[in-house]
Amino acid sequence: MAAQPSPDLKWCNFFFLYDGSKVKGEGDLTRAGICYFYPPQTLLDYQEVLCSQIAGVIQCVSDLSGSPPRLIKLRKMKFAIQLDGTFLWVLGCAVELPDISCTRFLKQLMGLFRFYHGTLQRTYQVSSPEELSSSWERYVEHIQSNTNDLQHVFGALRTVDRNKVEPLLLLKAALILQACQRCPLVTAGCILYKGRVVSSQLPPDIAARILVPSTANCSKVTEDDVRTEESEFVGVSTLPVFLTSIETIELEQHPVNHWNRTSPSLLQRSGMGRLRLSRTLSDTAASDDSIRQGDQLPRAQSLFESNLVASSAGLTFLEQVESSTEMDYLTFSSSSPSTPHKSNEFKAGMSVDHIMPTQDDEESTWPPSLGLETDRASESEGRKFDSPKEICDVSTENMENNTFLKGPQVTVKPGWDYQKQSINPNHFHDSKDNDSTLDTIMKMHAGDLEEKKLTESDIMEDELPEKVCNKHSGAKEHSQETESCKADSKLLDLGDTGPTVANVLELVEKQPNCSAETRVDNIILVSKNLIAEEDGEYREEEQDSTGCIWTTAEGESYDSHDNLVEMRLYLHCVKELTLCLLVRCEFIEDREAMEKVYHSSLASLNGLEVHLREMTSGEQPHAKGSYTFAHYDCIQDTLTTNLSLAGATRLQHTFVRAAALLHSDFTCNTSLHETIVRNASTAVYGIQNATQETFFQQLMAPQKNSGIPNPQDSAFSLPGKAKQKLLKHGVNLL
Amino acid sequence: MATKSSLLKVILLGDGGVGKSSLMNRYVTNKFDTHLFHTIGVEFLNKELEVDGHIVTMQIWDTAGQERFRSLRTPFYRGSDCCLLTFSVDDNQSFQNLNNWKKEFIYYADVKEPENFPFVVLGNKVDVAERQVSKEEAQAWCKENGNHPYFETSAKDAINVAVAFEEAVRRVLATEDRTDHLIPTDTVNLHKKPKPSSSCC
Repeated sequence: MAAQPSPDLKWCNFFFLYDGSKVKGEGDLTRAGICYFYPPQTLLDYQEVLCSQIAGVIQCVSDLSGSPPRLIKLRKMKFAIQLDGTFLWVLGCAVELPDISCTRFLKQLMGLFRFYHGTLQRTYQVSSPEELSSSWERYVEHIQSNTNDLQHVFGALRTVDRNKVEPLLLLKAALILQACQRCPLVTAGCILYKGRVVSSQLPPDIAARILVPSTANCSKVTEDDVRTEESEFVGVSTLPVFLTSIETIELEQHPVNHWNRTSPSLLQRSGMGRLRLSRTLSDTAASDDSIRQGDQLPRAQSLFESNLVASSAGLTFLEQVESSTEMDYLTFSSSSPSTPHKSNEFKAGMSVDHIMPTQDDEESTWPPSLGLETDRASESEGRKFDSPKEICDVSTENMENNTFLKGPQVTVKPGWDYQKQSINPNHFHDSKDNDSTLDTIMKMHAGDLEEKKLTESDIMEDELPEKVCNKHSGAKEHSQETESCKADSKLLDLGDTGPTVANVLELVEKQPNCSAETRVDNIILVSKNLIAEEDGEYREEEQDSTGCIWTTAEGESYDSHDNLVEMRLYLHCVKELTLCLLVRCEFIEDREAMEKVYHSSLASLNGLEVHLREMTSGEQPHAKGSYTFAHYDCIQDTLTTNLSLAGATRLQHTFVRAAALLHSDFTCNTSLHETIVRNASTAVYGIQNATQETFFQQLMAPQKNSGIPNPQDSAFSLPGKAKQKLLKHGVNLL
Repeated sequence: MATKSSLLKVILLGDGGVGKSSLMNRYVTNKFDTHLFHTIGVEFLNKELEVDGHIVTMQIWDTAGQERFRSLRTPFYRGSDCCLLTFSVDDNQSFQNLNNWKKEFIYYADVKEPENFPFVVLGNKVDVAERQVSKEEAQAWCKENGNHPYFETSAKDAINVAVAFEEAVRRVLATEDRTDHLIPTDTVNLHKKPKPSSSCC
């Protein structure tokens, strides 16, 4: 217990970037290869020893095993490793930190650098290492800043304490962002207060990269230059940023983003003058149908649509998919409903033991990873997405009599919806708001069939990517269109909006009622399984399965293969409040657009700032409760806790350690649902589902009868207590 | 060039939807947006102007009119130099509520001498054809309730907006001259104003 690092201690012990190409011959000095070393005051000799030793270990392991190590664990320290061409990144931290956290921090650092500088190779060609060192310093500081022990474990996005901020203000922040999005050049944004996220439309990993310019400068400008407000944008700065094409797609797909968004193509059609939001509070009456349709077509859906175009291409494509080595897929030769479920999962690369000891079919959270995916795809709409199991169940049941896609007569096995929706035999076609994505697929399929009159020859397999691209890029009109398209098609091959693919479910179905023109006999539902691993890992999974750009493990850079998309980051500081918008490059030249965004947000930002200042000024320390909890939302990457930062007790340290332990376990074993870990003095309860992890500890006086079983042992009442106590924190453990 | 400048806090109050935000935007940015959100809590913009030789920076505070935002807006009434009571001429209820708004303001802003405090009354949306409140009615109310100046405005058509805000400044300056309260400052500290409000309640 004494080994627990003090909260003040910087958890990142070492970080270095080493360029192997500079050190090749015997006579080459190791120091020539060191591009950056943290902490910078480390003696050069020591730097050299560490760099050369680790580089040597990596080389050795690679030679022996054929693949480079990702993590090297020593007795007191562990090193996360990433290779990028000739470059080597290493982050060293205390051994207490879970492996995934260590790896994750390194990836965050790499992401930060790429976000602000572009590719590593190019940057180091054009800039001197000295110049870049200050950037690295800032990034290392950024990922270490303002965190407590729990933050180290989860590496979550830093957010304002939602229990302390009036919910209406969160709404206000969200509305400011939406108002900015009325300008089609604005992709998405987030609002930070004192470096903490108030509201965000950005995927968490991108939001985490926003570095707020030093507040001193900002507020100075704001106050001094009040009189130039009319002619200048006070407190505004813009800088170029770089996103991978995958991130760009993610950005476009992020549920919050397109939920209220009019797609540019629609705007184009309906004229720029009619730009506006779909969900303003005050203009609901005057709604424009065309725009509304656009608004209500979430990206997930449109992707599915595209996907269906692909999928509806008929037998040719089906055969292609079947023969494709790039995708796992399912066949339904098996008869029992449970078999496809298992085989599905098995083929998806997950071991069979991931299957939950099924309690109740309805309640089953099987498999947690799928649920995660589900929420990603349909978060904002409250849609329910069918897990492959369900699709399987449905499909296998209906396969035999070929009724699956005949329309409302589809019969569904009761209990198919693992989220306990009320089951309706006609669910697919009846439900409106919470219809499943499968429902969407089916509806859209029907629409597609009729409208597009696809024929087998209409879209041959070769044409697919392009077709799909065209469809998708309607929403882009961007200079990087082609790159995005390339990436789009890759993603689309994979399935839908989410980051990974595993399964292709094929549903072969004859449709006697189909019109002659459609002649589409087969439908493939491309679905997927999410391997609930941390970001980078699922990306690799994804890339591996498609054979595209990310091959970090092999030492090749995803950067160097991926075309980065350049965008601009628009930062508007009002004292401690910062509005960050990711905008297209044209935005900077478009004075009118900038003016519009600036003026539409200024008053609200001023207001939000005074509100937040007022609310946080009377901040009181956490009331001492009888329990400690931490709640990690994997989707939004946020952490809620009542753990006080200062003066953590010994029990609380135990809690952090237990949480770290359980977090690692949960990450490695996605099927793990509930755990209790205990020592002589306390017990910590952990529960995870697809979207969140929750940890709970009841605080009480330590037992004196160590060793003897305590008749009033409270460990097993923990789950109940957790449910009850956490409700008031807005955490609902079902 | 004038050498002294001062910051005046002017607050817009009135029912939801009467056009307070639009008035502020029209005056400061000369723009009109038909699709504004409901204001949540308070917002403000600064505008520098010269009135009768005085250079002043007017800080216009726009507030949420809806009852449910009451607790968010009231802490920011304090320190106001002038209150613009706003109603919509096509909505009689908003006119009837002026009394309540005045009371709410006097209570939360902790105005010491309500009879001397500068109020200005704005009847907005005169561009709308179907009026529910006549000019005479409004003027009569103003006369009875402390002889407040009354302006009929339209944020949409930019009618009388600047005149109304300038009058507000004149009223403040007149009050301050009378009480010899005007503190000349070269720099403006925005922190100063809202601070006292946070300590109240």
